[in-house]
Amino acid sequence: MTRLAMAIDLASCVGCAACSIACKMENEVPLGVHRLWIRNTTLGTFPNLTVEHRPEQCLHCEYPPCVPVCPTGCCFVRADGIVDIDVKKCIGCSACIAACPYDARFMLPQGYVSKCDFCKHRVDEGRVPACVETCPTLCRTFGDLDDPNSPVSIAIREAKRVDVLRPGLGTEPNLYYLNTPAAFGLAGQQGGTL
Amino acid sequence: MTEFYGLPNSEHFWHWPTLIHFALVALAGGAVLVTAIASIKNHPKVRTYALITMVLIVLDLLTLWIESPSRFRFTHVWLFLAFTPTAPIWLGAWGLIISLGSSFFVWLNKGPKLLWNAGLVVGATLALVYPGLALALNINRPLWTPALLLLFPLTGMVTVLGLAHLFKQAWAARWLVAVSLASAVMGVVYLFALATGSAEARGAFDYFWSHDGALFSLGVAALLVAPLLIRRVPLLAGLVPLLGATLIRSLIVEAGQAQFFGF
Repeated sequence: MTRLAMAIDLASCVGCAACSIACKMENEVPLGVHRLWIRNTTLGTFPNLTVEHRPEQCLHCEYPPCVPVCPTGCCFVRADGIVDIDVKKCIGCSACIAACPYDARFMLPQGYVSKCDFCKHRVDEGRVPACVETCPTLCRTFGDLDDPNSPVSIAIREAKRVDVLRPGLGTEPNLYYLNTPAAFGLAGQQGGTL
Repeated sequence: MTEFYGLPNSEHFWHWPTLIHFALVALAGGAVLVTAIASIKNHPKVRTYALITMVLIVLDLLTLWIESPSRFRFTHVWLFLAFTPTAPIWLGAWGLIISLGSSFFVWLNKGPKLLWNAGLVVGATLALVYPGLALALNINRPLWTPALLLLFPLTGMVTVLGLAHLFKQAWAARWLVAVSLASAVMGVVYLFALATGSAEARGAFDYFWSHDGALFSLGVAALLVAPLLIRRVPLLAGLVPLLGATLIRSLIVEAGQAQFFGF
């Protein structure tokens, strides 16, 4: 069975936002809303300073809280694990926006919800998402978690540290952050310092 | 220090028309329960109650349609073509439709009364419970706690009992006093649970208290004074708890949309 996932190596990410721009262009995301954004957090105190450039987007959770609350069934999980939206059924009730713990969903002016879908139109053609293709530091990897030889499986296996956002919520995200610059993990989750 | 390139989609997703919906669905859900009890007890005014219930439900559905960003895409039909019992909004939609149909036949005074009564009881339960359930399910938003599963049905009943008292229904007074006091206690329990909960809950309490604490206290006070007003100023005895309950609901819906993630 296919289980698509993405990994972002934070030790390589320089926060250039090329992924964010590629996403905007590829998916024609309107102004004011974002499928993908970068959170830049300065950590530590001088002289022990570092910065975490953390791209954030829909995490395509294993147990997505947005899906069961959708009253029309327009939010669903594809066989390959992509959490998708059938816009023909969306009533714009925002229940899924309320349920998303990662602020990944937004309402389009056309009256339906949108978010990152791992560029499903590209994935269906056997290509990688636009953000992965465009990343100049190759910090993003994408592929099938159930395939031990896929780029994402290899990247996760070889990483010194693997984190996910808000693990306490039990959503089991399929977007992994590798090699966080701070020893305590992702900024804002542990409240620690360097 | 945190800066962004692009921004998380953390702005409020429900705006003032949604607050009107939460007020109207409270009135509608409560009215369905009153009609159900009146119909079961063969109350002489049951047809009037059924008519008022229908008006409130239609007003609520109209508000929902107006506030919907997809109002001209007519996708709402999927609410009734899909089977999604895990979704509170689906439960609420069916609750309101079942209530509307049952109220209509009670008003007509035709057909199997037992069936319409059952429809009203089921509809009232769904319509009263689903707003609180729709919020409480979101474990990522710390202000929307399981306490809302009780607080929202209670405040919903306060609004309709206040309305009934305004229209001089003799039976409403003692129920209004009891449910107002229960709602006030539940409001305090809600705050207390937040203030003594997890670190995230305490952070949410601090945010809520500093932004809306005065208004929330005003809402609770409005519920507490209902018993004092009942005999002295009957008009205010209906209006004050109705407004207090609506205020409490609106504040929780409005402020609870913040999830305090990473800021």
